Amino acid sequence: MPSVDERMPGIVRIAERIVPVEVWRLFLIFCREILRLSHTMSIEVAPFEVRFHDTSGFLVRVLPYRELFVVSLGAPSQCDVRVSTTDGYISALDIALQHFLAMRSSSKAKGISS
Amino acid sequence: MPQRSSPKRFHDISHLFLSKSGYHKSPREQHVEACVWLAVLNRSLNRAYLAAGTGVAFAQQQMHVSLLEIGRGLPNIGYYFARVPSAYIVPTLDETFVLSGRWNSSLVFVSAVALRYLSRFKLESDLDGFPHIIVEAFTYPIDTDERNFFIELAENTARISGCGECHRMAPDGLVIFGDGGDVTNILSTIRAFAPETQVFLAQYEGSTEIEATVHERIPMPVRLGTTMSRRMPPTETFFADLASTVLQVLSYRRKGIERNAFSG
Repeated sequence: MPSVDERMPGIVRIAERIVPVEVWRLFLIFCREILRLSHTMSIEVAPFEVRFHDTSGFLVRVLPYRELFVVSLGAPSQCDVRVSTTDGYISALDIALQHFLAMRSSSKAKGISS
Repeated sequence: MPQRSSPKRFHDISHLFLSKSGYHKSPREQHVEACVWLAVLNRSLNRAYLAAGTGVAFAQQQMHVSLLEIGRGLPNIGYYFARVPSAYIVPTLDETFVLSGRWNSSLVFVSAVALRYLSRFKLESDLDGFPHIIVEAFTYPIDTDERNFFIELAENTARISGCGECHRMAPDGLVIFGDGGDVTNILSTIRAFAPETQVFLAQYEGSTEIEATVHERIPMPVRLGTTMSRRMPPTETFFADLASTVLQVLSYRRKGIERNAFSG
């Protein structure tokens, strides 16, 4: 299984469309932390977004824009968070983490191994 | 040979802890210390969940607990001790940040991305006469040199324990959560590093039993973790059973009983 760092190059490329350095940094850190949530986390880098999904059913899309990025949870989207500041990053990561843990808990309750 | 009975609470058996020459104990007169390491092997296991549940279970055995977590990734124990997001998420932005706090009068906790950030950290812990246990949780494999990590962790333990006589304090017990080839690897390392450490292996029920010589095997329910999203320490009975078993085995060892009613 590739390490987190080894899975970042595609994410770094798509992050280039973000102009403010701080937002760009938060985007990369956010994606890194989502990758770290689970060793079974899959990643797809599409032209306009990065999709993370896990065997538990967890799904998050991260869409970089010029001045910010959007974190969209679930499909269909249950929650969208716009991130352009550290506070926004913290909120988005907290919500994503809780969603991930809820999906994992649900898998456990069903007796599904992960 | 003692018969197996329902697990005793620690204060029922704490009188069995005897000083042993060469064993590094705190200089505080009526204060008994033990140190337990928690190694979380499988990356699908939730290190923070297991650490928080185990720490609280020891506290419920009438012990004062200093719980340390070392490692990257979320969640960390700050999530399970209900720290606000702006606190527990900070280590993702600043890896030198050390998250700390107190859960209740019995448990203090610290979480850091790496051991080196704890070198100057002072743990606040009141020890009102209750036995003090240091619990240190980490993810295995280690992403740095393994033996150095164990040495530094033992040095960290000695510093936290307040033992002025020793530079390192090897763990009394090591609980391994998980399975696979890493079990053999960590067993090999701990046996070379601290041969007297009592080893406990917690594996999921029904999983292939690993060929390994450990002091006690503790089955983990497959459904362990159904409360994983709650911002509070887990209270599943598995953790109470784990804490009770660990304390019983350690107490027998302190008394000099090599084997107890539970080992093969």
